[in-house]
Amino acid sequence: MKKLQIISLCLSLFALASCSKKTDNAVVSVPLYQVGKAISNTGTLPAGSYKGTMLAGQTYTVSGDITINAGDTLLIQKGVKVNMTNGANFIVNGILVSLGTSDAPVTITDPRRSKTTGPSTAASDSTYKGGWGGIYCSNTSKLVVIKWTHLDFGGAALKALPFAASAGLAVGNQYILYFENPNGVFILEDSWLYGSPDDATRFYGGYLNIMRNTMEKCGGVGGDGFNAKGSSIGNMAYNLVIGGATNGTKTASDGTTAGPCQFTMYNNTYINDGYRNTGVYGARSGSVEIENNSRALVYNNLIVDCDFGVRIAGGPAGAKVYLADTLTNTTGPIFKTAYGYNYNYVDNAAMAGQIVPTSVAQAVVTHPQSTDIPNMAAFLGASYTFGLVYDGTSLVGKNNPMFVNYPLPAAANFWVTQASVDNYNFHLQAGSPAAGKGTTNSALIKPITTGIPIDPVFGSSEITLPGADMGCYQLNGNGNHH
Amino acid sequence: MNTFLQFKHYLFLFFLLAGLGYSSFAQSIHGNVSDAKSGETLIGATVRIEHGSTVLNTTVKLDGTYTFTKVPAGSYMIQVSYIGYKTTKQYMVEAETDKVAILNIAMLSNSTALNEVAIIEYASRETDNSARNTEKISNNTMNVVSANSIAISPDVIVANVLSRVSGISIDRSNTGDAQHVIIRGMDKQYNTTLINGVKIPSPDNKNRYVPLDIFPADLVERIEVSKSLTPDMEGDGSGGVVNLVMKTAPDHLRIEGNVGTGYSQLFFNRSFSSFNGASVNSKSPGELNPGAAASISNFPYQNLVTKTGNAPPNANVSLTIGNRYLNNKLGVIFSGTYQNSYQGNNSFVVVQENTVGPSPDINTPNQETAFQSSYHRQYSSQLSRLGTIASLDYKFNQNNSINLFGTYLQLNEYRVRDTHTSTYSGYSYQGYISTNSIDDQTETRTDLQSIYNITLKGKHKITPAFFFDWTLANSEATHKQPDIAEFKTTYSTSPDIPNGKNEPDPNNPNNSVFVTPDIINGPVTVGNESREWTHNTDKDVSGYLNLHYDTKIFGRKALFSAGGMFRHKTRDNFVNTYSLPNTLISGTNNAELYTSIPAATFYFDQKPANAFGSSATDPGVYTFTENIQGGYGMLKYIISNRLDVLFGVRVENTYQYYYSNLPVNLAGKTATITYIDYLPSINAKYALTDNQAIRTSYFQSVLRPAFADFIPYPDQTPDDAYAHIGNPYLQHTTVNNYDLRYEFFPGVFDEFMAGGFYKYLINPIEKMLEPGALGALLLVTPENLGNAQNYGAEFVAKKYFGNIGVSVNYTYTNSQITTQKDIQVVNMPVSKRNQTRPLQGQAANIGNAALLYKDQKIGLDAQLAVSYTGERIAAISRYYGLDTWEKPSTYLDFSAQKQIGKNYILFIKANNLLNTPYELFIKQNNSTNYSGLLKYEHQESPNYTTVEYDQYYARYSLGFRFKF
Repeated sequence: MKKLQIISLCLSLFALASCSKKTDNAVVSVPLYQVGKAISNTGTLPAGSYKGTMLAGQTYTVSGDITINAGDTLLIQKGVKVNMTNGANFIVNGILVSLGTSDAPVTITDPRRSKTTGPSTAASDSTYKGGWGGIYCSNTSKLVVIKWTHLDFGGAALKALPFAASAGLAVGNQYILYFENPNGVFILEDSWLYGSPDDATRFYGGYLNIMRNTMEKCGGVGGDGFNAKGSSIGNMAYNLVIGGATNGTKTASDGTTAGPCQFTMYNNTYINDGYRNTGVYGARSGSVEIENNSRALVYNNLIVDCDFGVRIAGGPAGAKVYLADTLTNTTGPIFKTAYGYNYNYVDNAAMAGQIVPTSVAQAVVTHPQSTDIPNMAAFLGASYTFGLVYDGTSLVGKNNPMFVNYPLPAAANFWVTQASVDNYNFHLQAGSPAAGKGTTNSALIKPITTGIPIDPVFGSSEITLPGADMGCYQLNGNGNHH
Repeated sequence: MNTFLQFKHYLFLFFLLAGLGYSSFAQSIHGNVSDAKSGETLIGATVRIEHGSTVLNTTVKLDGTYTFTKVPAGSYMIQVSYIGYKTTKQYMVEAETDKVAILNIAMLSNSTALNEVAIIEYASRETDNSARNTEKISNNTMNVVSANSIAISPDVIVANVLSRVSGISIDRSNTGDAQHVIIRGMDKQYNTTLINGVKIPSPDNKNRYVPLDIFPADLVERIEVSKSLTPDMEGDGSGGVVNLVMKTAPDHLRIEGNVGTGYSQLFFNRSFSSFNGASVNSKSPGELNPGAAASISNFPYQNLVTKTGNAPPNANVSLTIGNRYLNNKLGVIFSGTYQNSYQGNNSFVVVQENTVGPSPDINTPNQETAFQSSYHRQYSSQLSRLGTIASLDYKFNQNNSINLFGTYLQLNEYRVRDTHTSTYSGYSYQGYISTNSIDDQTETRTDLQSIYNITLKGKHKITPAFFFDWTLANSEATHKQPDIAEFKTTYSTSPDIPNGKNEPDPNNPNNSVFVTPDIINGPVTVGNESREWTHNTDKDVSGYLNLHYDTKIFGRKALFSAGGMFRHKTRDNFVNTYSLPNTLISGTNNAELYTSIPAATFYFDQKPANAFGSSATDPGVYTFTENIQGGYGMLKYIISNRLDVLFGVRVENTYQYYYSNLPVNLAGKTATITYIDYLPSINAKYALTDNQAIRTSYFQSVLRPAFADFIPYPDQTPDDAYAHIGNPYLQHTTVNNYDLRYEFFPGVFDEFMAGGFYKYLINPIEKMLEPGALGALLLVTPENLGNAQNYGAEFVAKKYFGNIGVSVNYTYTNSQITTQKDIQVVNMPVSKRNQTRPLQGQAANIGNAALLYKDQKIGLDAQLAVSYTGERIAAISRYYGLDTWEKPSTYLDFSAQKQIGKNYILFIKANNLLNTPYELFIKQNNSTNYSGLLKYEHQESPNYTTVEYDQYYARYSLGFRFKF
């Protein structure tokens, strides 16, 4: 009987092997997409208006703001390295496409800076100072696509307003990505953001797909990671956010009258977020924050050693201001804020006491969920009211998610200073308690597809559906490919 | 003769005794005394009657009259003397038995300008109406505050005096002084200020109108408030024109002045903060070294170090010397005043947020009950005012004269502002919402304001019918704020988790509130430091020419006038701001611990761009040019003995251009604005009787936006909680004004006036609190929100009973504007709806009342004055129903003076005896802020939210005046 089993196994292996040999393993180059004329990389590119294509594999040095006029397109082919000097920015009034690939990513960086590993603090690490500026897109910018692109050391202060901003821009702002066109499309996929002094991104409008990215060391002594405001709508999924100063992902309908901010946030991994903000916002931030009349669906996220769990903000003194939109709406795409199947691992009692955030710093309206790990609904009991202060000591060190390579439980305050991926590996090991515990029920969580074009060049490469393994790395290889 | 005198004595005694026994000897001498030119009643003038050896003296009482009762019948010689006036000649008056003999006398002032046509001393035997004051004889609707009123009022600066005129309400500065006037509901921007009829530029960097707190009352002879315009007046005084008539040369040597001191109740209650202004750099590093990066050492810490102690007493001196030379052809007067005072206030402000909670339906305003932070501020200011005027007039002959007038005014303020900022949390301490962190900011600033003006005027009579006058004026106003420096420290505040407990929220059963028994403070750390330099200069060159032709049409007097004016105005505005980043403790994410201001360190390393300052791309750096040309023609025609009219048309051409440092890629870097206005007007007066008249007028007027209202530059230099940003698309306002007034002068000094007005405003400019390009931050933005109407009624009544007088004025104004506002209804996108409300700054009810006491015998004057301003809108919200209102305020002031000898007057003044707060509020449900566990400070009601509460406390001054 046992022999039969072995034989059948061998047979089936053979069958599989022969199947895979049916097509030749050919790697055929895909055509490089080019728009307009090539941009020469001789000398430095001074401040001015640009359109056309930065050619694959070339290194460009930029000495002043690169402005893309309305109606113009600038395309960056794979493998391009752009060295930004003098705190230069991309000012996008038209279309910008940065088309890296997994083999040949695009890099936009400040040549003065280099990455460091290990402990990082705002005082010691120049990563937080802002090297080059950012990509600032006005409300005439119809489309921005950034794929497989390293955005390293951005966030130098704006020296002058790049355009008449209709939403939230001022001289001195220090963002890497800023987008405000409510009718525009912004795609950020499979890319890396490394280092920023303040909010890494500010989205005030448009249709966004923020997927499968890695964000490290963003925010100096304050600043959110993916920060959506205004009327922006879209997905924030399969992102790894490590060492963020304040929140990893956040929504708030500030600065608009165009409609509520609505996002799905699923299968993100949040590591060590919320510890570099010593100011007032640091008193109430960590992983996910939904506030100020915005709506979100928050599922399948893996939150490890963050200052706070998923926080649905309420108004101070019970008032409506800052209150997330938790009502049932008749217009979508998100009709009602909902959350569940989120996974929390904490290494001390303070974090444990904020898995369901309290109202000590600011009022909250977060319902503990029985689908969460740990089951906070059961832990807090039926008598829970919003904002209740509780003792979570018994949750410390429970539910180790079993990363492939990361020391958990972490040494004291390790979470404060470990702000980059380095050689750690946040993929789940098989058998992780986070594996398979997420939901793929589309009645609960499905991505927003309205308004987001799918296109290898002028759109999203893939809107990845929610995955059953919590966090951004799926055991089946889906999700974040970094 | 001797016998006769003796007989007179006996007779007098007889009459006196008889008068005690009988009342039938009722003959008396009665009359009033006034200024021949202005008609102003001369209270306190000495009246002397003489009948042989009988010499009696009395003084003119508060009601403007003198009375000798029960005098023996007979012929009396009467003579009046008064300081500052020529003693009159002797008039004969007959006191007939049982009759009242009336003699009214008009005196000639020493300072009567010599080319005033045919002003002579005179006496009249008519009833009381011979005293015509300026209000009665003027062509237009006017209120006048006389020198005497200024002297006995409780005020030391002009603006406070003005707050007692009917229909006028005031805006106060952070020192509690009145700064701007609001005339009949028309906000300060609609009103203009003139010195001797010439418009002067403002040192204010935001406003066209001059802050009146710069003018010491001592320099001013008379204040005229015109509420309607004639064609010869510039067209931008829609609400009114305040003309400050400065002192003019007397006809013989005159020396007068005062010395005084004072104190503010505030500094009995708390200490006064001051700083060393000597280390203030007059220019920013970027001006000293253009293009170079500043280093931290360019920002000395010394002027941020403050010390506290008792405020020194205020000092106040003034001196006026005037005389006339060269056979009275040359008149000279010099007047100087210096005031050094210590003022301040305590302020509480909660900061309004950009976002509001949704409303259940479109008719319920959104809720703005929650605030993230508040300020407690303590202001300590040393204010030093210097005012000088010099005036030379020369009379060539009866027909030609010129006048050269110069003034220099300076107001220096050295101010410390201590701010305690609370950032609110979600837990409760002692029943109030507690904080996550506390910031303490020390700001020191130096405000240097000055105005100078030189005016040359001439008057020429070519023929008896044709005469003309001209004016050339050059003025400059400067405002400098060298180094507005602010140092900040921060500490976190957290609840005591182990010892606190959760309690149900009384206002929200689904919430629990954590109540802490004590607060745990974190270490105090150093925050970013800010430094800012600003300066602006306004230069005006202007000229006026008025031609007059006096003739007759159908046998009635007709005065034709025509003229023109030009003004070339330039403004330079400069601002440079620096933010000095704080340093972190090595190897941490934490800011440096605070030990002292000198020990705090900063570095530009993290934000190198900050070392260059803001001026290179700051639209606050701009130049502005404005050219105005005006011309008019008008006719004053006496149609009948009772009816006269004045009508005409004025044309004004406006050219404006500015250039700012806004980057070229943004709209509004430069702008050119031109327009022409045709402004017709008519004023008519119909005399019902000798002492009653009806006046009516129509005129069209304009409002030109202030320069800063165009420049798209967010300016947070004033103390407002919100920055101000201009709007280059702003339209100028045109106003149609209708006035009707009934006047009744039953007694010399008694008056009753009642009137109504209607104004239709096309494109009024209002300041809206709305999110600008800064997104989350609210900015005060000037906007044209639609057309508005403004109507109302006012009355003035004065009645004097011997030594006691009562003066009351009241204005009701109803202004209406309907504009679109946002409303955020739950489950709907933000939608628009109309809201009808009063114009910004416009109180429906404004009233003043004064009680006066004057005892000539002992030389005592006293005045108790109350002024009331009803609720009014302070700031417009973009949301329906969420405007910020100012609470009604009642101010009580007292003053008294006592004559000591012939030449000295001792005075005492006390202002703001009720310690009236300046309070702003929002009309909304406030129950969660007012009750429960998470209350906010200073909340008075569940029905409205108090968002600002400032207290200035009483101020006292005393001193003496002298006149030689």
